Formats: sequence, structure tokens, C-alpha cells
Amino acid sequence: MIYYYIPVITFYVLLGTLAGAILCFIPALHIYNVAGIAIVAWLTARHLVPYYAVAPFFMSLVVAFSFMNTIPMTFFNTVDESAGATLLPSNAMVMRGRGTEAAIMSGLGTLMGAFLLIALTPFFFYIWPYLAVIFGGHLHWILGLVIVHYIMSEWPKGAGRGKTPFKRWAEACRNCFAGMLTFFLAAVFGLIFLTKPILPPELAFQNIMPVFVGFFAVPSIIQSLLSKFKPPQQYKPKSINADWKDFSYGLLPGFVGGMLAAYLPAVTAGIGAMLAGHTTNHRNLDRARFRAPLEEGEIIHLETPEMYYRQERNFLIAGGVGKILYYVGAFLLLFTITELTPYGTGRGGLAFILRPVFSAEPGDFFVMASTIVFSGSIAFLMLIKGSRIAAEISPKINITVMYSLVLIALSAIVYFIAGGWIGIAIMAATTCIGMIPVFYGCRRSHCMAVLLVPIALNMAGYGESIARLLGLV
Amino acid sequence: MTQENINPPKDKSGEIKGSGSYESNCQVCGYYVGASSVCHRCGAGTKTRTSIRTVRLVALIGSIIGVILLWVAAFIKQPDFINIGDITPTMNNALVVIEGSVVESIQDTETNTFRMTVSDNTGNIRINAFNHLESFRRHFDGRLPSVGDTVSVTGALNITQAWGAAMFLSIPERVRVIEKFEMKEIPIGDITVGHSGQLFRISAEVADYEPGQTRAGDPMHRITFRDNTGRISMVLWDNQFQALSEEARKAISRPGSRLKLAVRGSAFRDEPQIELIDPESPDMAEVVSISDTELPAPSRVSPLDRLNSMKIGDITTAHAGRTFKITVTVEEYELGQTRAGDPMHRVTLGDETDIISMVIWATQFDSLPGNARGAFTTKGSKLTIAVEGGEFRGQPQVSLMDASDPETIKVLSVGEGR
Repeated sequence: MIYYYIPVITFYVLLGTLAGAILCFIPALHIYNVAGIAIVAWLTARHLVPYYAVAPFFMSLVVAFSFMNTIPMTFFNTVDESAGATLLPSNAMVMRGRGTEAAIMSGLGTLMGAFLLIALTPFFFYIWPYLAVIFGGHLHWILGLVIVHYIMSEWPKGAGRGKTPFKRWAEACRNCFAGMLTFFLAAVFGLIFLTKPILPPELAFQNIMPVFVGFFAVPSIIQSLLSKFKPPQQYKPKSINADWKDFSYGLLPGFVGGMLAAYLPAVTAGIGAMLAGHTTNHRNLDRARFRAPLEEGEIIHLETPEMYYRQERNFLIAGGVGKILYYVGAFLLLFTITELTPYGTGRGGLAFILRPVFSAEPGDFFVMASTIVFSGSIAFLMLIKGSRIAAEISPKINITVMYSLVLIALSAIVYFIAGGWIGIAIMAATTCIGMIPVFYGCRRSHCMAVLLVPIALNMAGYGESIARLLGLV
Repeated sequence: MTQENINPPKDKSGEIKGSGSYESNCQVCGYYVGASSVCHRCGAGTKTRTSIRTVRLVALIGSIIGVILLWVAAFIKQPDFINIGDITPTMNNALVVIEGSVVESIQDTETNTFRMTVSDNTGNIRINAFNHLESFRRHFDGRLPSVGDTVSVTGALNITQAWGAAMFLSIPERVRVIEKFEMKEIPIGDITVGHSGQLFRISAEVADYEPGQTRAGDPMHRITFRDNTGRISMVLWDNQFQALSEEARKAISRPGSRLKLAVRGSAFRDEPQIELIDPESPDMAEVVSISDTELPAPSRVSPLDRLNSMKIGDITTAHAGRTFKITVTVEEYELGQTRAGDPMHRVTLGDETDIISMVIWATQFDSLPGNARGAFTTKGSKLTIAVEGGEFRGQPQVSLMDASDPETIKVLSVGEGR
């Protein structure tokens, strides 16, 4: 019988990898949107994918996404809820014609993360369950700490310019206030939306989709349309400007950030990377510094020594590691079935989407592990080829037309899968909130307060009081 | 690479013309650009100040209005009513309203959890208020929805492949008791298999208590209750027994005790049985002091009316111990003797499907009504009789259910000869 299962599963893993890779070429289309559509399709025609191939299929879909979404992120500047850590360095490299290098560097980090996930198997089965049980009852205050740290670490910027002390202060604190406002609005939005969802019940499993499209996808598109972003001609590198030392530097923050994101609810790879970056912060690296102005009013230039580029490389590699640990690791943990964790410790969007139709069983972990290696290797090869194609075509593409089409496609998906005009209205409201960090220069992950705050408060037992306070009983 | 404007035009106050306020971050990569017309880092143009300001304004005003409108929409919106049977996997996490009757109600004080199972005509759903039992008790003033109540519940669906559909509740106000269920009291003699699934009360005396074991070796408790109309048995699993109050536990295990019980009708091998509902609730198993006259009066329903009818060809040894009625013709009658020398009456009964033998002991025979005695001893007589299945040397046989009760035998016609 097993001789029958192996080729069938392999076929669906290949199919998932291909589907994930091709669909992820579409800028701003998140894999969870694709997974939602795939689940609806599967529920209407279950014979399309046999039950035993469902988990490998979706796993390969998300593995391919972890690799391939690097391409639209790098070349087309489209950010999801986890890309904050890598967007800036990869964007800079694209503008210097080194987009292919940036994509492959991030992809190598992702591949390293895939192998790290497999290497961590004993850790997942013998240590992780204890950690999950020990910390399980403390998640509310841990999330509280994450929230406090996250808000407080939005440090004043600015260059001390302005005629009056108030103007200088306002300039410096603009990003702090924008961050706090974004966090507050996203948190209130989340509290209302999750306490009393307004979407039709039959689409509830995707009810967060229009919220995320609004927070992350649409503001990126608007930003690119307004700035008339156009990538320059890209080089075709035969090697990448990174050595093994860079990978070892990137591994620890990537692992810490990715595992935090994989375990803590509502903490994404972006937030995880920020936390990990603060705990492992490049202590061996030189810092970039401003060059002292020669006369008053002169533009202040930033010196970027070679070590700064190393820091960029580490960012990209760590981002790649963290990304796969978050997307794939969070789903893989669903399969760590032990006596302490009989239902696994899986989290994340895919585990949530699949929960009504799939439950993990002992032994599935190794099918998933082999799926990750197989699908990851293929996806990495596709990433190399895909990034070269993207480098070739990105300067030639009419970005305005492309983003307009993507915006129409995303609106159509939200309209048909996430509640019609109500979904569009939700997307519009969250787009406005999502534009605040984009246009006021603070962290975009503040939008994740939409889940962080309601989950933390509910875990702490305040959900009932919040519902009363909002009059939504 | 694009050229940067390192010397932008300035107005009289020294600020950059057209800037109004400082637009110091690149709109593409967020990098500090100062007054340059292009970003040092990504090369994106920065000459879109007016429109960016408009976008900022739209973002600020739109986000605040959006949150307010969402609150208004959520405030006005009433969650959709759905049937339990219509729940699909894509409804996971939906806030919906269901209406139905409570078929199970559990108060787990150890985990501070209140659980209900609600059933409508289309299916059942488990409703869990984890860690909220106390707030539910406060809200309902101690009288939480109990079995039989019709309730309307608004909650979030949680659908898993392993556990099916359940509903999570945290807000007591989202449970509304539409109709409090008042259970009718039924005499034991009136309980039939037709009462399976129905909820009612009985006032009865413990006739027999027998502790036993399940096949898995777990303790169980078999109790027989009686009133003036009949007897009925109930099995309590040990967890149910332990959930009873100490007084109820003692009463149930002591024959002669009298109780008022809230029960659900059920059937075992076509015989009516009862199951105790909600053993944790003191209202459901109440020890009472009642006199004989207060026990329910005999039922007016004749056993022949309430028993199921069977054909002889369908009776097997598996029917041993069960009671039913048969409409038969006397095929043979023989007067014999027991080993002790007492007289016994062996009657062969038949219908269009088969024949079966029945033994009537002398004491039973003597208590039979006169016309029944004549009918049993006359070949060709037709009768409808309430009998109990039995077995003799591997063959099915029947015996009279209650020879002294004239309502268990109906003589249709008496045969013409012996």
C-alpha cells in the first residue's frame, strides 16, 4: 500500500510547490489567501486531493511561498506582515542593481532554515513540548511584554532639524506617535472585529483576510503607485557577496525570531525579527554613522562602510531563516504529537485554515519533514531561476499597470471570498490604518496589534469586559 | 542612478519651498532623505509632496472613521441564526446564533467551566464556557440552563476535524433561556419504549440495587425502581453515581428509599429503561419522603395496549427476558406433571408464521380467569396474551407475563374441541 501512497504524495507535493511558486509571483498575493481558495475548492470537490495528501500539499504550498515570495518582495516592493525585517536591505540592493543577489541571499537563508527545521526534530519532540506546556499558561503576559517592548522600541528619529524646539521635537517624535496611533487604531479595530465579526458566517474561516490585505498589501501598492517606483537595470551575478561567516551570523537571530513567531500567537516573523535583532544585535559589526556637516544646513550623509553591507547581508539571511521557521515551522509544530502535546503545538494561519478539515496523527511529522526538504530544494532552484527572470523583466514592466491589475485582483478576491462589499469596506478601513506607518515612517508591524491585543486580553480573561465596554454583548 | 537635488529651493523662512512640514523619509523605503528630490538609498523620487500629504490626511481621517463605522456596524449587526445541521467547515470562527433544547448540562467547578450540549431538529452541538462558570452562575443567579430548557445561544464556532463543531462562550448575556422546561411526572407503568429520548420525572421507590462491573471492569450500578404501577430499571455509570449528592447516593443504594428523579426514557432490547439526567444538579435527583398513597396510581393503560406485538416466527432465544404480546391459536394442550408431581399445563401456540410452546404452572393456571383457562385447554382457541420470552434446551419458548392480571390475556374465541 505504501508503494501507492509515496508516488501520490510526491505528485501532490510537486503540484503544491509549483502552484505556490507560480501564484507567489503575483505581488501582494499572500499564500493564506491562496490556501483559503484551495480549501474552498477542495471542500466542493474532495476527490481533487486525497485526504492523506492534503497536509503535504498545503505544506509544499507554504514552503514554496516562503522561498518564492522573496521575488515580489524584493523586486516589486510588496510587503506582507513578516517582511519588515528584510524589505529595507533588499530594496536598497535592488536600487543598486543587486536584486538577484538579495533574493538568492534571502533564499539561501530560507533553505538553511528548512534544514534547520529538520535538524531540530529531536528538540521538537523532547524539549519543545515541555517548553510549550510550561509557557502555555503564561502567554497572556508574555504577549503583554511583547506589546510593551514593541511600542517602546519605536525610538524617536529625526535629524534635529527645525526652527523651534517644538518643531525639532515633533519631527523626531513623528514616527513614535504614528506608531502609537497605528497600534491603538489596529488594536481597537481588532477588539471590535474579533468580538463581533460582521462577515457572513459561511466565510468566517477567512474573515481576517480583508483585514490583512488592507493593512499590508494595499498600502504597499498605493506607496509604489504614488512614488512611481521603478527598479533599475539589474546585474546578473555569478556569485553572491556573502560567505559562511555571514550565514553563521544570520542563523541565531533568524532562529530566535522565527521560533518566537512560530510559538507566540499573533507574533509574526517581522515582530520576531525585531525582538531577535534586539537580543542578538550585531555586536561584532561596525555601525553606520552620519558624517559631520562641514557647514550649517548641509545635508547630512550616512557613511556605509563595508561592514554595513555585511549587516545588510545578515539581515537578509536572518530574515530568510526566520521566515521559514515562522510560516513552515508554525505549521510543522502541529505534527509534534507527544504525550504532553497530544494535538501538537501548531499555530499560524495555515494550521487555523486546515483545522476544520484535517487533524494531525502520530507519524505525520516525518512525512512533513520530507515534504519540506523535497519542496524546499525544488523551490530554491526555482527561486534562483525566478529571481533571474524577475531581474530581467522588472525594469521593463509598467509598474503602474501591474499594480493596478494586482489591486483589482486583490479587491476581487476580497469581494468573492471575504464577504462582498462588507469585505471591501473592511479592507478600505484597514488600508487607511495601514497607510499611517507607510507615510509617517514607523514600523508596519504595528498593524499586528489587530491580533496581538485581542488575543492577549482574551487569554488574560478580559474578553468579556472588553465586549461590555464596547457595547457589543 | 538618479541625481539627488542637494540644494533645494528655500522660502524666506529658510524652509524648503512647498514642503510645509518636513517630509524627511522616503515614501518607498522609509530611509531619511532630508530635502533631496531622490532617496539616497533606493533612488525613488520624492517630488510627490502634495499628494503624499493628501494621502496622509486620507489615511488619518479614514482610519478613524473606519474604526468608528466598524463599531457602528458591529453594534447594529445581529449574528446570523443557523441550524446546527447546516454548520460547515468554512464557518470556523463565525459568530452565530443557534436555538435548541439543552440535552446535557455540566458544571465543572474544578476547571470553572460550564458546558452544555444543545440540540435542534438538525443536530447537536457542544457549547463550552471555559473558565467562566462563576460568571455564568452570577448572571443566572445559580439557575443555569438545564436539560430540557429551550435556549438561544450566540457564540463563536470552533470546528475541528477531530472534535467536530463546538461553540465557545465567554459572555453569559449571550445565552438566553427562551423556555424553561417543566418536566411532567409519569407513572412507571406508563413508560414505554416510545418514551425513548423524552424527559420526564418519576416518583418511585428503590426496589433493588445491585453494584456491578462493565466489561472493561469499571464499576456500574444497576437500580430497579417501582411504584404502584410497575417496575423499571436504570443503569448508572460510576462517574454519574459519584456526581450525585451524598444523600442521593445513599438513597439510591438502599432499597426502600423514595426519590423524585428527572430521567430520560430509553430502551434496551425493546424494553423501556430510564437514564438519569444531569446527576450533578440536586433538582434532578431529589430524595423525598412520600407515602404509598402519594406514589403514582396504577395506570389505566392495559399491558396489551402498551406492549409491542410479535409474530411467533420472529421470536428467538435472544428475546429471553423481554415482554411482548402475541396473538395465537391453541394448537395443542397437554396436562403433565413436574418432577415433584405437581400438575403443569403444556400448551403449543401457533400463528401463521410458526408454533411455540408455553408452560403454565399449576399456581398460574389456578389464578387465570375462567374463560382463559377454558381457552388454553381447548384446541383452536384464539387469544392475545402478554408473554415473556424464554429459552428451554436451546429453543425459544414463552411464559405468561402475569397470570393473575386479567388484562394480560384477551380471549378472542374459544375452540370447539379438545
